[in-house]
Amino acid sequence: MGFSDTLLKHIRRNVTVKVSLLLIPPLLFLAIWFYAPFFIVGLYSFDMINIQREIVFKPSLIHYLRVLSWTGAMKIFLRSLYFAGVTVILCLLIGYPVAYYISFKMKKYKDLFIILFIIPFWVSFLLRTYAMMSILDERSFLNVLLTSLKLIDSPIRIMYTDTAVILVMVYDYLVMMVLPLYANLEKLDKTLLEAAYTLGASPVKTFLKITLPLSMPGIMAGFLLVFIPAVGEFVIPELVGGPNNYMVGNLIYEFFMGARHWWIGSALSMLFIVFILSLVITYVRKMGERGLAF
Amino acid sequence: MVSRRDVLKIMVSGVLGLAIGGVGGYFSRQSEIDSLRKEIEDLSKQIELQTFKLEPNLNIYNWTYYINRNLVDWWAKENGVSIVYDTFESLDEVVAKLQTGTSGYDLAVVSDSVVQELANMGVLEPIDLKKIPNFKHIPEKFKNPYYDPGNKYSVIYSYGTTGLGWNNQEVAPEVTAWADVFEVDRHLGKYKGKITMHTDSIETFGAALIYLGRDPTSTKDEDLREAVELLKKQKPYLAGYASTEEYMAGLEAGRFLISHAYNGDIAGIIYASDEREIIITKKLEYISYTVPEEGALAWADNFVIPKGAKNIEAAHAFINFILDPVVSAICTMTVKYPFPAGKDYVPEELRKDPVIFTPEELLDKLYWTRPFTPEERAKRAEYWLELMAA
Repeated sequence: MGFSDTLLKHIRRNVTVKVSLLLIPPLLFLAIWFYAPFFIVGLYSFDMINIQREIVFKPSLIHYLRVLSWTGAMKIFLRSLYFAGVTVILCLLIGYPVAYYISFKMKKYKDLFIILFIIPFWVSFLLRTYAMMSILDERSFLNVLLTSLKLIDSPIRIMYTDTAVILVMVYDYLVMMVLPLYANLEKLDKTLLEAAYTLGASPVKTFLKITLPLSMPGIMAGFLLVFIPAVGEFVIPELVGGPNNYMVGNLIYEFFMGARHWWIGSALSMLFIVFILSLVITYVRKMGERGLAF
Repeated sequence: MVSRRDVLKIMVSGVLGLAIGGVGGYFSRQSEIDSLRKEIEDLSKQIELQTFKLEPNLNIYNWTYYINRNLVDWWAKENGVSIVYDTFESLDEVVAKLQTGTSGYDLAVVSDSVVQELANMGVLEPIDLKKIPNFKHIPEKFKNPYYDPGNKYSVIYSYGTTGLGWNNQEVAPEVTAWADVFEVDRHLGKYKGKITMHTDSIETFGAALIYLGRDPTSTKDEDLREAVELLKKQKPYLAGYASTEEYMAGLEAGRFLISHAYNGDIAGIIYASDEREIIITKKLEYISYTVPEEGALAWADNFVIPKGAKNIEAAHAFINFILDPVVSAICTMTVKYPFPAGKDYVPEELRKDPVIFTPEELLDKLYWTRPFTPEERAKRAEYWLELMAA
């Protein structure tokens, strides 16, 4: 009796051991390919690697202080926030009705519509951006069509403006808003809505009092999934933006690749990461753990 | 093995393909095509191809559209070497790879400003000029450059200027000076929203500093301050700060009328360029290129052998092959960048075209960039970000 008990315990313990062993490869992978490079970026930002690429144990804040003293950098940062903010709001305004419609109004073909919505995003993001460029261009078929139909007098110039950057960002990130919203709305208990109607609430009131509050986790998830990549975007402003569309991503790129001053580039990256992390932490605090389960 | 005749066929068929393709220009008459074909055939007979016993693999890293690929293939076959020929589109890419010292390439082509930087980092192998007898064909002024005294680590590949490419049908009067793009009462005001400056801060600061009569490679605060104020005033009138790809497409489509550009890129628009065909007819007559009268920044690309190269012998042999005057001439006719060793062998039309070979009288007005320290680059980037934020 006593013997078989200990054996069982042993196996049980062994299973836990085996399961935790399974965690080692992904952790190792992250440690080598993410945490270690991240640590090196940290070393650069604190001036702990010299120009011969040797580690020196004299941490200093000079690069941070220098970066923080640039008013231009602050302006570029605010501009990025503005572009990402407008993008995320437009994505929400366009994405919410789509997710709502597919989730609530469609009886059949829900999956089909979601897949139809996702298919364009199987295409490389660069290709999609180039495709948009050929539409926004002054000599594009869109402009040719509109002018030849006499709907407009002269071609619309969208390329190399703020409008172009925001338009392409909305286009590229929309799916990141729709999917978490759709997943969230699908899980929403529809009997609550029936209850509201039975008790005489108007559709508007039902939406505002039940659907919207319950879909907040989806909205927040979509917000983070769109906002974080959008605020650090550098390819889109580079390709379709004009002289006023330089963003934080371009700034960091310039210091790493153009100026090849990894110390300042690292300090900029660290500050940017701290900002993003504080956003995510605030979000998790507010929403609790369920906020991450979208 | 491919015989010399086969290579001729490949090259000549390029010319014929063009004629059949019906791309116009001044070689449209059969007699002219015939004479061009004969010229290239005669030229090709002069190539002295030496073959060596070489290790079988050679990895080359070069800018896109920057060589005659048929010649590369021919050399590889004759020498029994299999070449991996990779390309990059910005200097950042090649520097990022070479500075690791483990890029895996045996031969790369990089710009003047980074040769010294890479050499100081210790990521270049020395070049043995004794193994490159054709080095003697390089004109003296391209030997022993400021960035590599004694050609210890580099051999010139091609060179050029950064000036102004412009649409000669819609822009009048003709573009002659930096003042045209910096003064509102000249072209800048007249063609608002149709002018681009270069996306590379070295080029755009360089242009502003030359216009201001300063040293284009200055890192003095007072110079950079004045330059950035000038550029901030210019900015509202610009269509943007355009990269090669953007301004080439923009000029061709007429979206941009004046672009701060590399000469070879403009040549690439004017002539229909291809890596596998010799085309010396003009495709577009409406684009011109001007080296501004105040002067311009010059640049030079160079062969370097990266640290860790496994086939240094073959790398030297390949450099020697490209420096053959006829090979250089054919490369020039192919990509429309000047290969200095081949100048005497290219047709007169190309030799005299300022978009390809910078005219002798302008050579004195060229400024060379110089390598900057990381601190100097950061300082310039700081002023650049001020311009971008404005």
